[in-house]
Amino acid sequence: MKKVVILGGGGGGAILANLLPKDEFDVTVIDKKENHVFLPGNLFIAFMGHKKERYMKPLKELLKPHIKFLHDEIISLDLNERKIKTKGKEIEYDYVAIATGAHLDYDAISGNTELLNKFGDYYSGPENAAKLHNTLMGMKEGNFVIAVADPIYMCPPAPQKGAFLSSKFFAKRGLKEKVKVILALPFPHAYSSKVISDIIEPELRKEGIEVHTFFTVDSIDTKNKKIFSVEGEEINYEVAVVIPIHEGPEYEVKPAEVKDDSNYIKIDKYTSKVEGFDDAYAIGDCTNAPTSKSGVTAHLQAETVASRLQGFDAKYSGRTNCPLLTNGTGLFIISDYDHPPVPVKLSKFKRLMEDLFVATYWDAIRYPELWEPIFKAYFEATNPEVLGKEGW
Amino acid sequence: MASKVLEELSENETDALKKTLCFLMKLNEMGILDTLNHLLEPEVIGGLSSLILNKGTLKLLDNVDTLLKSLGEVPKEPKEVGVFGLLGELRDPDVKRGLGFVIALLRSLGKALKSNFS
Repeated sequence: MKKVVILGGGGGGAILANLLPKDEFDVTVIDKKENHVFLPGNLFIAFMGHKKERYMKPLKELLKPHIKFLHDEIISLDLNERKIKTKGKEIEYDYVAIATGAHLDYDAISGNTELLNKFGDYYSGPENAAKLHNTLMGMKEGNFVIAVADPIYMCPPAPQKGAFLSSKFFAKRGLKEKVKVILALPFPHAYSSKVISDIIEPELRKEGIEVHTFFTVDSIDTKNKKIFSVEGEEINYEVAVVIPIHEGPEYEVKPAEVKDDSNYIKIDKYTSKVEGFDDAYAIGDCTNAPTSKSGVTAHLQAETVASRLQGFDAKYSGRTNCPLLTNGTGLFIISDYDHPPVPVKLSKFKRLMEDLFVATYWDAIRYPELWEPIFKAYFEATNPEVLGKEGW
Repeated sequence: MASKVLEELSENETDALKKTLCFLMKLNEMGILDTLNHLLEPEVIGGLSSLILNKGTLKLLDNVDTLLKSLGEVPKEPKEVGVFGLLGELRDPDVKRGLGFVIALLRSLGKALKSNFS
């Protein structure tokens, strides 16, 4: 039996655990949270008023019965000694997979913690998403600003999704004329990729969403309700969400050089192996892989690592499939390491596909072997190479 | 044990359970349960998925609302069009666009047939 310890029971960690055959692997998942959270659900809680319980499940229920779950906080990981220290235990392993996600540093931007405490947001968790919903329910007029502090953050289309969904929310409350939705982005266009920006810009205009480009949040003045950018601009707000600076894991990892300047774990982008180690992998939002921080990345990396641990030469192509939702339609941002996002038109069908993905999320985590061939067929049919310049 | 479970069910639940059992019995008698059981293998699911989820079907489904909308707007009794009428119709930009679509479809169908038969 090979002893595998998985740090973190989010999408990537849970899928990896469930994919490893029980007769070959002794699997332990460590997480400081008892509940697994479907992160995109925060958007639906905040802007559509969904109940937060819909997007939370006890991790124990999502893991197959033979998998051990240790509810504990990780203090350190020593890759040379193959040892993990938690608050209560010391654990050794044959293989380790780091899947603890990104750490959100609200304190890095002056005023952001105060903003979070006052309004809530849709990044830090379901409680704060519910809080943001309450804040927005109480809003009567003024600017609702969604701004970004750094170009690297989870779910690249999340600011735009927030803008579209909130615009719909205010229209539903009859406040279309009184509340202005403002999107402030550090990019030259309405999306980091020009191809995608060209597709969504007419929709943003139609919704009356104001877009500020080249706006990287520098600081927030909560007293005078202003956000300042590094580039020297300022925006007034009535309510604001500033997507915080993201970093790799906070806990200590030895040797220290496996973390980059932002604490992200340095990996081989194809195999997910931690640089310099054959018995350590990292997947999902905690790595320095040059692709989107998204659930699809974590999912596909989990499949890659599960295959590699079983002796196959699996590689992750860098494929992304981030959904961008507007008012009733949707598109997927499809790219990989070798292809920038291909043009994908907005359609009702793609929105339905995303709704289906959301509805089957828990099953895809619990029974990844059932969903693997289905996702594989979809990913092959929509491979950026196959779609080509024409897109989908 | 079973009777204890039944005792704890509400009337609505018992009703739903009876209907489900009835449905299951039908599936069983017709052999559908056995067939489904044998079909539920990763290879079958994978094969079916790759047959259904391909570039063509994804494109078709993506445009299904456009296609159905245009179908809904076709008059109940479209007028007859002869050769000269066709020449006249070709001045209409919408007809041109539609024809372009049909020709592109014919071309790719021809290509697919060629590789199928050669």
